[in-house]
Amino acid sequence: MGALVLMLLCQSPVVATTGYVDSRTTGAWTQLDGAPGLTELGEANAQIKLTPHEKVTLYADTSLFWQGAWFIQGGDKDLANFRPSVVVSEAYADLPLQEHFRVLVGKKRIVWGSGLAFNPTDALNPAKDPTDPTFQRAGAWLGELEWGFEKVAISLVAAGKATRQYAGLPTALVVYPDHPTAEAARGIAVDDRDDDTHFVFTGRLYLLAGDVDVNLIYSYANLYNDAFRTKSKGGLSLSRVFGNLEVHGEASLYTGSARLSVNADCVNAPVMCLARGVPIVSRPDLDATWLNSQALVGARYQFDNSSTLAVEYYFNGEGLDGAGYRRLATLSLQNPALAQAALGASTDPGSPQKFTLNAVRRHYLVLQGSRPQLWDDWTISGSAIIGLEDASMQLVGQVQWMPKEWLQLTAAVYAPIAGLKIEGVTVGDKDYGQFTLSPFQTRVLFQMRAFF
Amino acid sequence: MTSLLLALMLTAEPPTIKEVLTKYDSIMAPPTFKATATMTAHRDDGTTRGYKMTILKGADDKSRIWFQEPAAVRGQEMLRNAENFWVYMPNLKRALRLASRDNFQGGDFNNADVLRANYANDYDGTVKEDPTKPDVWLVEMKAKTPDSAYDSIKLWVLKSPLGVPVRGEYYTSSGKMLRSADFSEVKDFGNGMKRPSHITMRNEIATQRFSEMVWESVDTAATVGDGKFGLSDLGH
Repeated sequence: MGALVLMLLCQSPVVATTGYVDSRTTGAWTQLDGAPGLTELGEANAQIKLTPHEKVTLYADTSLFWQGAWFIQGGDKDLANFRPSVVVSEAYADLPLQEHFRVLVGKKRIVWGSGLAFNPTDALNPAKDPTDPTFQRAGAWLGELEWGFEKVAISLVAAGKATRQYAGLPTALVVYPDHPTAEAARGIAVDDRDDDTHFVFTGRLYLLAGDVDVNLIYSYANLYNDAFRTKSKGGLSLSRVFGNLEVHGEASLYTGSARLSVNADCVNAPVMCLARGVPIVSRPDLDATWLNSQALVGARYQFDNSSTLAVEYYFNGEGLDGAGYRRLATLSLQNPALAQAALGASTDPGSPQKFTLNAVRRHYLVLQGSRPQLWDDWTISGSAIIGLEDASMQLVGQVQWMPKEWLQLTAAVYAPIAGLKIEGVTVGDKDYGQFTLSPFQTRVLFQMRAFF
Repeated sequence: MTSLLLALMLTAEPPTIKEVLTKYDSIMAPPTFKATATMTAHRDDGTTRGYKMTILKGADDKSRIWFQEPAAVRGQEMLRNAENFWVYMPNLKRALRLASRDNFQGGDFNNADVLRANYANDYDGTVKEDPTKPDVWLVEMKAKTPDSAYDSIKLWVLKSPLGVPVRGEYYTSSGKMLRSADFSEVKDFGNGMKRPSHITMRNEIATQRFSEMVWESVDTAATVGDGKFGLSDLGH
């Protein structure tokens, strides 16, 4: 394999490179131990496209992250989430073997759904930041066969979860290695292995029918991006433009739910539950046969002055009811470390996220607006993610300036709002809504990005 | 002799609008071609932004653009298939739907100005003399559908060779002029392709702003496979 790649690279390949150097400085009012008041996230990104042959393209999108954290609340000063890291967002070989047929192997972010803030039909990728969907660049390790025509495309994808990875590169896919990590063997890290296979097969049929983008999507997954085993999901995505108005919708349909439920007896005494061997959390509907869905409908309007306004409603069939949410929130606030252990580690998060929304309720409204060229190179934008059950929300305001073609400066404010007290939880003397459960309160971000 | 020819031209019956617009389309957007072009946007403060792109035009109202410069938009692609426009955003790793009237890269062209020139299909109207310009026809065009890029257009084209544009004015349904274009520097691109290589599009709302599009090469003999005009090909 290596010899083949070297041979191709000796064919005087066409090389295209781009990338950026980025600095994000964030100041935050913290409210939980382990949260830093000041962080610096430096990123050096390089995107390299090599075309050694008309039927071979090699592509890599890699970021080196340097992170620093200061003014950390609590005693722990070495925060694992803020260590330097390498993220290989994409690295693949693209082989357009025929005009209408290609094979792709490697890591790639493939998104078929039309949603802006959420993609309910996405069975492949790490979750994105709904307040800034451009920030998540990471894809999945996969193989794809695609037949693409002007108005029809068929794609078949098989992807494996990276069960072990170091410096952004996997050493094991689909199954865990038969030996623990050195840290787990010495007892200083949890041995997270299991005997299962972690994969997803997914396919889509794309049609351009009556000026509507139609995607019919099917996926079959086992312990891939959620806790479902051998789960089939069907999906549909639509998008159409009417004059200056784009409307879209996306839905995923399946049975049961992978939602976590906190044992009511353990909310205030989780250590007792652990001692008695009673599970603190469970997934009671994992094998249920009732029909469940996640769906999004939205619209984006472009005004004559190029301003845009987008509105999306997201229904999360995995969400909790009020009582279930309050149990989860109370456990998380009273015993953050225990709650994190009970809830389990998340899958590969991809790029370090400015804001991650673990959508724990059922109904959300997302508003996004931007006004480019306010003056020549100034853009103002704002977004709001609103939990409709508790009126808790995350507000984001942003000003962007491009003083040079290669330089972009951004200032942003992230303000979480607790919402209705009756739907939230009270711990100590403080009320929390779903968007104020984060270790951070209001955050201010200053970003400089230089493109090359 | 010259005055005789001029007199003949002045007294000639105007061609039909179909003839003029079909000729315009064949000059400005031949059935298939591969081209390279640069767009320079001049802004209110006197500074400029430059964009370099490769354009592929396919049969039946299809086109695609790859942006090479500046670095901030490198990797972006645009695709048009009839009335449908998409932009592929490398930082989103996906394509988004666009409206044909959206500004092209924030400049003073709109998407349809660059990605679509099928006036014969989209517009109807009249052809008449312009008393102030004896060597051109004035074509007054009305959009056939509300999806067209402009509600009405005034286009001045040479009488000979017929259809070569000289100037365009682009209006809203209320009659307000949005943009005006001057076509200049007719260049021989080979394969019998002669057309203006320089288009200056002025923003008539923000009058300090204008954009220039310079066509550097237009290859009408290039192989243009239809595999490049599917949504699934974007980003590859």
